[in-house]
Amino acid sequence: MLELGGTFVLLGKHELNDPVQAGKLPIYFNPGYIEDYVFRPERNDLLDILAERGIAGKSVVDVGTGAGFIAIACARLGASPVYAVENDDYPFQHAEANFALNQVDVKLIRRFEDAGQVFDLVINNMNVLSSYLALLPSMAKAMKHDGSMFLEVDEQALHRQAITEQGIPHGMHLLEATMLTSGVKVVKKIKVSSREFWEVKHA
Amino acid sequence: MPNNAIQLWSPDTCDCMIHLAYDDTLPPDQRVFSYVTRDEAEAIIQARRNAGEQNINRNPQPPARSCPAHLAHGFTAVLLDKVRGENQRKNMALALAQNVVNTLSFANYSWSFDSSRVLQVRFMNISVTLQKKNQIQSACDIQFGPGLIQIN
Repeated sequence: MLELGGTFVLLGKHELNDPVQAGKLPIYFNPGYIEDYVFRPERNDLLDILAERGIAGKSVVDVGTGAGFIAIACARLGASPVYAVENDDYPFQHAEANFALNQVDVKLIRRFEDAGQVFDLVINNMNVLSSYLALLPSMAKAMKHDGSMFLEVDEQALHRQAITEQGIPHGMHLLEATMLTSGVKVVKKIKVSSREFWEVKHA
Repeated sequence: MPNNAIQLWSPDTCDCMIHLAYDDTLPPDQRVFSYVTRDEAEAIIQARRNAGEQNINRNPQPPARSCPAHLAHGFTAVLLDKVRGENQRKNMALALAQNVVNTLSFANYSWSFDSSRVLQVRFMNISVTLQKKNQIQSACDIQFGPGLIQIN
């Protein structure tokens, strides 16, 4: 069992019957997923931000859910409905299995458009510039008029990606320009350890 | 495009040598590597020689090799699964350890596989508390399932 920030604990499938400390919310995980690490400090920070914010009753979509950590956490915090978007087959299968293991009601879809609704909260913690640039217009459209979007941003990593993948020196300028054309703006930057989480709203 | 290129892969986790086929028209981060036998690898390269490519290896593909620990798997896709799985486990265990102890580097990381192919991990020239070691062990058990990695 691993503590993930202040609210959640992570347990393996082999710990399914282990007692969970009072006041903690469990996230169970099927073994064998190799696309991401089960323990990442920056994801723990995001879980704390979501728990502190209080998202019970809010509609949430987790974009690029991977193995489904954030979507499971949102469901545990009482968000409803919770959607998880994952396009790649390998993580899709793991997310599906993890949602079943956790017995949470998360709707797993391939594309935003499959949800057919707008959300109070849109989350993307991929920290991948090309993904942010490509998905920001859709994420903006998927956000309610008074809704929020959370992006995980490691500026140094995004700068590196801008240079190596896009061939441009200023990834953050490009991200900000894409926000402008998508009709959204950053309203808050929450700095935690090496990462920032940007809260974005309609402009 | 079908797979048109071959890489002879030799991991740092054992002495196996395995032919992998891939599509070299794809960007490196999008390539999918598949197991092929030495004969299949040779056929892929021969097709390019036959097509008149000049900058293609003229030498026959070297034989694949299975180390003593993986002999039982024969020269099949299972061999690749096992060898790649161990290699990923070794790499991911380090990353998980670094996520728990952020001052830990590759130079502090000592690993070996025991006779049961359990990854034995030790940390050198750095003080890692028992609590942190337990955290790393938990992370490894959750990530891969228990009994595959031992943090010492």
